[in-house]
Amino acid sequence: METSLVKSNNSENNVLSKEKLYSLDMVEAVSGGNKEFIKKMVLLFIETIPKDVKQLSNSCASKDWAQVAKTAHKLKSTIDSMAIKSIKEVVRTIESNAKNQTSLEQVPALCDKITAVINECVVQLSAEIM
Amino acid sequence: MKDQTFKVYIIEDDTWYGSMLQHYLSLNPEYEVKRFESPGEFFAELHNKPDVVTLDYSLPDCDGAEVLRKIKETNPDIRVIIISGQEDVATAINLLKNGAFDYIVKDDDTKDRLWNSILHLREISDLKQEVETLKTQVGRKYDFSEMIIGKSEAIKKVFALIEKAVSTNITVSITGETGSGKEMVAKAIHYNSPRSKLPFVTVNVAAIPRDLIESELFGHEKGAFTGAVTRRIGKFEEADKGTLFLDEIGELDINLQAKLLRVLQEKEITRVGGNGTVKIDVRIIVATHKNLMEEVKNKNFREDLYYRLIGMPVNLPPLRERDNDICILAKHFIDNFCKDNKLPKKTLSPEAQQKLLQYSFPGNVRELKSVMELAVVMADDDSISPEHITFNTTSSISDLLSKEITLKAFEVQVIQHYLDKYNKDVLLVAKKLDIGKSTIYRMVQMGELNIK
Repeated sequence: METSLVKSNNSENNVLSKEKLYSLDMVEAVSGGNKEFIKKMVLLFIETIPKDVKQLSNSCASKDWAQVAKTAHKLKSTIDSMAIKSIKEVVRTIESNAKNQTSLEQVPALCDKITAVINECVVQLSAEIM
Repeated sequence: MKDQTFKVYIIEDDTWYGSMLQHYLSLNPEYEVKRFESPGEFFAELHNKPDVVTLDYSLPDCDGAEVLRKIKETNPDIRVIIISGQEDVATAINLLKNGAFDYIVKDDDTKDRLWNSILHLREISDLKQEVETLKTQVGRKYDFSEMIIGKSEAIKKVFALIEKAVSTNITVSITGETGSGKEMVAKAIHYNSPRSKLPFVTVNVAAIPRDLIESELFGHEKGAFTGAVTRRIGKFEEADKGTLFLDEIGELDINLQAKLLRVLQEKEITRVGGNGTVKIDVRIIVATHKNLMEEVKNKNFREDLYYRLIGMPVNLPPLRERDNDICILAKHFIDNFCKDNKLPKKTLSPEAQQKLLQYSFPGNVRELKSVMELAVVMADDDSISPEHITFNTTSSISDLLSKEITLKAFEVQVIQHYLDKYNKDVLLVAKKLDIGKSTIYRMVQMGELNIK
């Protein structure tokens, strides 16, 4: 179910035609019909989640696996709530590997995937609410 | 009832997720939802007594179990719901054991689970409140069945009055025929009132010689009069903080009535021959079979004392107006007598019950008891039949005339009396009363007379 708060007429249209990596269904369910809330949550996402993702990459680069696990754990809830399907399992794998310190060599690539997907989400979301 | 807003505090370090939860729960207008990103922030506001706390178990640099423990320590009534990404059953069980109300895993259904958990919690809270209210209500439904037995409409009215009397110290004046249970009513009031653990003192004013009544009630000092060898505490002092039941108050000497009135008004007594006053706090219940208003009119009773004593008037119905209570009480007396005298149980035959129901019981419950005890002794087998029941009424013509009933009713009573006297010999009775036997038979057919 597509949810566009404002259908934009400019070039951002081609962004909308690309398949969304996320879904605002849950946010809507929570909102109780409050459009302001949906907008607020989207903005909050755009504001805070990239920061967390940055932290993920940094701690991965510095091999701070404990921090990696923690950040991955934190991102999990939001990824689930926003139904960002492509990285649902990925973030879990990162958390588990980092925590148990297994298959650590896979982790950086997974973190990169997260970064990429989230960045794309931000773009798509920004378009959606403009 | 506490104020209607239900306080929900969320401890969640993930701003985005926390905001989501907060908004969702806020959709319920009865909830006041606050969000904290660290336990520190939360504990600063713990004094506001939230009803529910949702706690993210995997908070950074923090032990969720420790937070739970601290919350429970501060206020065990606060319900804690743990939300966590952990799926460790052992951890969950441990937390639940340590006082967590619920444990919810973070997934797509979390917000709904949380919502339901809080609803469930509130239901429990409401149920607990309801139980408390019901408990108080049940406590208030007094059980008078130990003192007064009966289910008739007439006696139920008395129960209702007693219930009203138990919660305050209002003076109660009980009227009723002799043997109708006035002292029982007084006891029922006392033992269901806040004074139940304190003395219940009875004074039968009619039973005490006139010259001794004053010292009986108010006590006397040593040497106050001939025979007063020691100081004596009167009944009023004996009943201090409790209840004083003055039976046959109508018999109180007019001179003492003045003293009684002053005692009731000042709430203090002076012993006979004494100088000082003693403060007393007594709940007064009085009883009389007389019509006090009549006594006032006849100048036998002081009007001011009358008004002081009337309080809540309770009129005890005579046994004959209590319908089936006669049978209930009869069975009660039979059972008690059999038990006390170690006899096998006896029952009351339907015919015997009928006989009881038709009798007027001028002596009321007291008379019924005596009749039933005799009946138990007279009955050889285990069933009491009508011939075992004998009524010893001294029913004279003035008794009959004291009632105001129709001529027809008088007729019926007279004929029935003769029938009872002459063993239901219709021919003989008809001859004695000089009426046709068919008249009697007709009345029997109409159910007005009984020849069984």
